[in-house]
Parts: sequence; structure tokens; C-alpha cells
Amino acid sequence: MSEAQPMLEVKDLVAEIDGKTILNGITLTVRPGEVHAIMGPNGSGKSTLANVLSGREGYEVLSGSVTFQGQDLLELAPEERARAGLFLAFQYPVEIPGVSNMQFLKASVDAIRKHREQEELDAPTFMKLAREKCKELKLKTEFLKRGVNEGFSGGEKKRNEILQMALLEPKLALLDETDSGLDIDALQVAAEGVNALRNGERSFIVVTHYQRLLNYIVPDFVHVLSEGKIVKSGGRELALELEDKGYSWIQ
Amino acid sequence: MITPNEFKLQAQSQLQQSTLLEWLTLPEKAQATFAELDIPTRKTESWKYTPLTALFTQDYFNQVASTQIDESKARALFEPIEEVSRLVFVNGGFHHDLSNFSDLENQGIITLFSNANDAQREIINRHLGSTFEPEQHIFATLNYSDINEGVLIHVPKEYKVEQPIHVVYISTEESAPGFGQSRLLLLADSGSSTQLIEQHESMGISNIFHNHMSEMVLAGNAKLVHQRMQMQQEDAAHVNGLHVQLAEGSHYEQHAIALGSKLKRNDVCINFNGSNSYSRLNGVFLSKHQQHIDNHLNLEHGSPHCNSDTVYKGFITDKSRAVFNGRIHIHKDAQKTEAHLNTNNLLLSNQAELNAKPELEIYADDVKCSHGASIGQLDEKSLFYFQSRGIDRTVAEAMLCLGFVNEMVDLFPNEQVRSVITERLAGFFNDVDKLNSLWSME
Repeated sequence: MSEAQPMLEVKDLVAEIDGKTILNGITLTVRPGEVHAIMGPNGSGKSTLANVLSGREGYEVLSGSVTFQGQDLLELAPEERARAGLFLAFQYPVEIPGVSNMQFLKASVDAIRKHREQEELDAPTFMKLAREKCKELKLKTEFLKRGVNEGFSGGEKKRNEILQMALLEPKLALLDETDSGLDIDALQVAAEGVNALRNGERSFIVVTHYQRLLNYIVPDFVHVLSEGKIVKSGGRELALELEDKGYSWIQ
Repeated sequence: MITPNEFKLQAQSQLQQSTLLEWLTLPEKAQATFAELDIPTRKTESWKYTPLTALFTQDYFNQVASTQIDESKARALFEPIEEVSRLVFVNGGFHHDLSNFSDLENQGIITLFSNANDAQREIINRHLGSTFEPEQHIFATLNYSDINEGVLIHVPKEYKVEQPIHVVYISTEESAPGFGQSRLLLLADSGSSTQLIEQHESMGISNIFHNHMSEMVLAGNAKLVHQRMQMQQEDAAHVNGLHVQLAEGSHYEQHAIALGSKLKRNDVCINFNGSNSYSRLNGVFLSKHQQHIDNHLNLEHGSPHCNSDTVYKGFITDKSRAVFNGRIHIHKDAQKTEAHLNTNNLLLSNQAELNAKPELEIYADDVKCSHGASIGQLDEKSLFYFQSRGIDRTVAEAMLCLGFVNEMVDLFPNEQVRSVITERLAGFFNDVDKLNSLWSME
């Protein structure tokens, strides 16, 4: 596995928002099929890393580089990153009343398939596929007709993110605090959805504050972020150690 | 360009030539009132942001437009709405062959003014023009100065009209300017229940100025669900007055959509005359290019224990201009009123203009009222959400706009009405083909 071209290579990444430096020289290599967990206390830069990678406006990269499958990721617009195979599961998915979940999902799958030079799925085929994925994630199919995330519970919103991921079949998925606001049952369902997508090719970066999620999505590597830098890396056991001792012993 | 006064003189000379229904008492009074009134200018408060210049550029009163129409094209506009009793007016004139309401006509529920019997004539004379102050509504007085046809809907006590009544008004493609007027009077007797759909259309480049009036009188515990679509093309000129009287325990619900035109003005006046009556006004308006659309709402809470909920959304772009004026007037005796009014608007261009003015006038001391107005742009967070799923920014913008409008469209109770609107909206946002396929998914 280690011989393959990296999925993602982040080198000395420094980024700021509103003139405040949040990422302070991040270096990280993710290979195909690997699951990396990024942990750290609040304000350590975890979500910023996910946002910078997905191209959210307002963040400025001051130095460093990000290469995604040999391509300069930072040069790409957010939609181009998504089409190239990057997926961000949002910490706070946006509610969009008036646009049905089905319309939103179809538009995104159409866009990605077009980029991959695959034929557009016709409406009935797509709806059948979406309903199947819904069932796997224990979501009622009527929820496809509702406005995007409109009135969804916290758990439904997060499962909707996983549903989108399942339909878009990304190469690299960034999960931004997917566990926040979830009870243990919802957490398990979301984790099962993620695990079902794990394979030798697809990589994951799981951003989380708590090690709880990592009981269900077992990472290959754990990195601890503090003040915008990776201060410690290790295997799964590092997460358990953090749970035991808290973040203070590392800072 | 003619002056406002010349416009008035032209209108009056047109009125002298028309053939009136001789038994109507209203036109003579209306003509006298019209003669007294001045054509509104920008100094007239209720017309401050809506110049009437579009009416002064052509001699609309040169002719009363004919009822000639391409029937198959006309049918395509309204036939997707099925299982209704239908009346069609072309340039204000009744079109027999396109209409079909014999069931309700035989029951005496729908009657053309020209077919009214003595009892119905008496009812029309009693109620027509009774729901508003003529001095405040110059286009209503113009409308009632010249009445040669109209529709009376009279729903008997405790009667439930099963199928919606669908009234369609079409302006035709004309090379010469013309003038058309229409009016509808609906009387809902106590405990009755009615669904009314009013649809305004224009074909091709329409040079017609269409002036319409609807008056609704709801008796105790009557219910009316009123769906209104103003889908004329942008070269149309249209002025529309809607006046509703609510007796005790009655319930009025409006769902309205209006596309912008050269000139479009909507007055909606709800009068709470009996306690425990209720109105819900949902509306959405869209304007682009150089269109103009004006919505003037007035809720007269004159009785205690009445509630009203009003939500209007506006979509304004390019160089178009829109007006939203929503007034809630709580009279001294209207204690325990609960009235809420909100308008939310998307203003998408630097050159677009919206004048939003919610007004609360409260003279009772034990009421709950709120009003709010927002004017904003597309939400960057939402756009990023779309983009992060691979969707082009232009498609994302169009989907968000349509979504904004669609929130109101979803509330229209009739599914066929919704799908007619949806199809037109995809045309309104015609730069983006993608939307058609997405919005046809069910």
C-alpha cells in the first residue's frame, strides 16, 4: 500500500482566516485505502483543515501545498474538487427549504457522473438507487421529498451526509465532526454507513474531538492537532491514550 | 407620451361608446366618481413607487380588444388544470367555446351578468362595489364605469363546491393597443365551502391593458380557498383589485403567484367584519429584466378575535422594480386580534429595486401583532454546500432561487396548479435547462 501514489499530500500548510493564522504548518500524507483520524481540542484547527481542503471561501492559504492524486488541489474551485473525488461531510449541514433532497442529490450525482464521462442516470433509475441507499442508512424514503435538511434532526442531517457520500462514491472523504450531536444509536448507523464504503482504494480523514467515534470507524493512523500543527502521530492506540489522559499531556 | 389627464379623458370618451347592461346601477355612480378623481402620480402615497407611465405611452382606449383567439394555444395554457368548472375571458370578454361550467350554471351557482335573472340582478346591484371605498381605488371605479359582462358565483348555504371553479383571463397578441376589463363577484353563503382558481395569461406580445376586479363576500363560517396565478408575459399591463369581506367565523385563504410585467399592480384588501374570522395570505412575486410589480396589501381588522397570517416572498433581479406594501390596521374594537405579516425578498442585482414597507396601525390595546421585512442575497453557505457536491455555481444559484420561490409554490393546495406554475418557473429561470429535469421529479 505504501508504494502507491499518495491520495493526498499536505506539505507545510499555513492558512489564515480574517488575518488570524489557524493552520501553522501541517504536513500529512494519506495513501489509498487509509483511514486517518485528526483529533485535537477545540480551536486546534481541525475543522479549518477540512474547510481549506474542500475550498470554502474566506480561508487564505499563505504557504505550503496540497496535492490530491498528483493534482494541485488548491488551484481548484470547490465544485472541481468534488468532481475530482473529494467529499466533505459537513459538521453543520445547511438547510435549504424549497429544494427537495432528491433534486439536490440528483443534481450532484449528475454533475459528478458528467465529469467522469458516465451517462446521466434517468430519474426512475436514480430514485430507485436513492431509495435503496436510504434504507441502508435507516432513513425513511419520504425524507427524499423533503427540503434539503429542512427540519431534519441532528442524526438525520449527519446520515444525509453519509447518504450523499454513498451516492457520490468519492475517492477521499473528509468527515468533519460527524459524531457531534449524535446519540449512540445514530452514531452506529452513521459509522456503519462509512464502514460500508471502506475499501482498498478509498481514503478517509475523520475529524473528531472524541475517541468515541473511532470505536466504530477504526482508523489506521491518529494525528493530534494543537495550535494548527500536528504535534503527535500514532496508531489507533493513541486515540485511546488521549481518551484516558485528555489533550493536556500533549500540549 | 400622453399626460395623466389626457389618459383620463381618453378613458372617459371610451366609456361613452360602450354598451352597458341597462339594469346595473353601479356604472353611473362609478363614472361620476371616476370623473372626480385624479389619475395617480408619484405624489399619490399609494402609488409613490409605481409610475403609470407605461399606460401613457400608447392609446389603449383606442379600441376594446376583441375576443378572437387561437383556441388550441389558449387551451394549452389552462387545460393541464383538470376536473374544474371553467370560465374563460378573452381580453375581458366572455368566451363561450372555451368555457365549461354548465353543471354549476344549471344549479344557479355560476351566472354571467348578462344571463342574470331578476333576483340575481338585485344581488349584483346590492353587492357589486360594496366592499371598498371607490375614492381609494380609481381603477376599480374605471372598471365599474363600463360593465357589459361579469361573473357571479353564488354558493348556497352549507354547500360545498366539490370541484374548483377555474376562471381564466387571457390577453391576446395584438398589434394595436387595446383595453380589456373583467370582474368577478363571489358570494359565499353561511357555512359554504369553495375553491376558486384565477389564472391570468397573455399570448405573444400583448398590447392589452387589462383591468380586473374581484370581490368576495363571505357570510358566517363560509370558507374560500383562492389560488391566483398572474402568469402574463412581460409586455402586459395589468391592474388587479381584490376585496374580501369576512363575516363571523369565516375563513379566507389566498395563494398567489405573480410574474412581473411592464406594469403590474395588485391590491388585496381584507376586511374583518365579524369576530373569529381568519385570513391567510401567501404570495410570491418574481420580476426580472425591466419589469415592474407592485403588491399593496391592506388588512382591516375591524372585529375582535380575528387572526391573520400573511407571508409574501419576492424575487427581484436585473433592472426590475418591485413594491411590497403590507398594512395591518387594527381598529379600536378589534381586541384579541392576532396578526402577523412577513415579507422576505431576494434582491439579486445592483440595479434591481425593492420598496418594502410593512405598516402596523394599532388602536386596540390587547392584541398580538408582528411584522417583518427582509431583503437579502443568496446565502454563501448554501452555495458552498451545493458546490462541495460538484454542482456548478450557476446551477446552484438557479436552484437556490427556484427553491426560495418554490417554498411558497409548495403551499398551493391544487397539485395541477402547482405543476403549471413549476413549468412556468423553469421558463422564468430559462438560462438553466438543468432545472427542468430536476423539478419534474416527484
